[in-house]
Amino acid sequence: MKKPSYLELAWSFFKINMVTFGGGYAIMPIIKKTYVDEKSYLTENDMLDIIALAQSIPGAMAINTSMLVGYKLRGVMGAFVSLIGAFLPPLLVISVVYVFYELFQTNLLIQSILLGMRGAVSAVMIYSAFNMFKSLLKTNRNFSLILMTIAFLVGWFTNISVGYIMLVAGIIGFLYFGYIRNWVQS
Amino acid sequence: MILIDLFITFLIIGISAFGGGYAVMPLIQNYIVDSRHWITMNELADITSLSQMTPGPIMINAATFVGIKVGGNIGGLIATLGSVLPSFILVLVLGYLFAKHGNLHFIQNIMKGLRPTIVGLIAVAALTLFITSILISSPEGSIIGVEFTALVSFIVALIISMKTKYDTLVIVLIGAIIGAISYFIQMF
Repeated sequence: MKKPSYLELAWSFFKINMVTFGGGYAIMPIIKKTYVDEKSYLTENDMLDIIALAQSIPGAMAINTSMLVGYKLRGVMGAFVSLIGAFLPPLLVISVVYVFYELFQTNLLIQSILLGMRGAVSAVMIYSAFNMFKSLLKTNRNFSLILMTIAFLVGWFTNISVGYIMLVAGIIGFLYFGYIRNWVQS
Repeated sequence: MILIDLFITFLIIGISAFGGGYAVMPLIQNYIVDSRHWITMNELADITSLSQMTPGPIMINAATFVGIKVGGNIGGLIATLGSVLPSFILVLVLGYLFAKHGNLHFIQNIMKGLRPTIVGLIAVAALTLFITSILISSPEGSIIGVEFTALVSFIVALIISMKTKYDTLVIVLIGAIIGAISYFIQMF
């Protein structure tokens, strides 16, 4: 398997965290685009497993996922340089915004630039999320489709915490693939 | 000493911040506004709205903002480091365990349940960002208009994503340029 250098890890997470609005899950398709689609450092399933792990750790999803990708590819130092890359952008941006606080909230040019950036990020996200959807259907098609639809509906229409949704999904996977599927087939 | 207090306070918030995102706001209110009085409720509301405008996780944004206010630039750094240290340690532990035992049969079964769920939840996040960026909602929540600047850059970025392998940073910079052009068109 190809592996990125420390510098490449840090720089890629710096760029990703610099442009990602919306927080949490919003950043996942962007990381996946870089590490799965463009560079093939990780497989689709590696990426989804990392997201599942990131969810079970406290703290910001974006930072956790960046660190886990770094750890998976380059061990402890990989996690460390990914952390540096991931937390520098918000640190720098907020430090600057802190000084130009008033200007930032009222300047129409800045508002307009931010709007343009948000629109562009939404497009990258939606396109990348759609690709995740397509490749997910390659294995266990019906099971995946049903679970994904339920997760979407629960996430969209209720305020149930993501942690609980994942807990239930994990139990369903454990029971279905461990016991129910064999029992149905026999 | 204030820097140590900053570090420890955000360390505690970092340990407790399960679920990420806005789940962290009540913790910040509890520790930073109510018990430490480092910022006011109004400033917390400002941090929230700034976080929606700027990139980056809200916890990091809040840590940096509060840190700078209380202890200057070094305070911003210390608070931010405190907030990410717990997850860094847990990443190492969990990453190690998963690399060692992740191939166990029952863990793979659990993962098969989690993977589609994650894609479903990502779809929720993608759609939410799309709606909040491109559609204008009334305070009651009904849609009353379209943000044309964001819509144009959305369409341009979608076409670029489908046709090319440009870096996300490049695509977002193109979005920023569209935003700037849109401002000057509206001015003149």
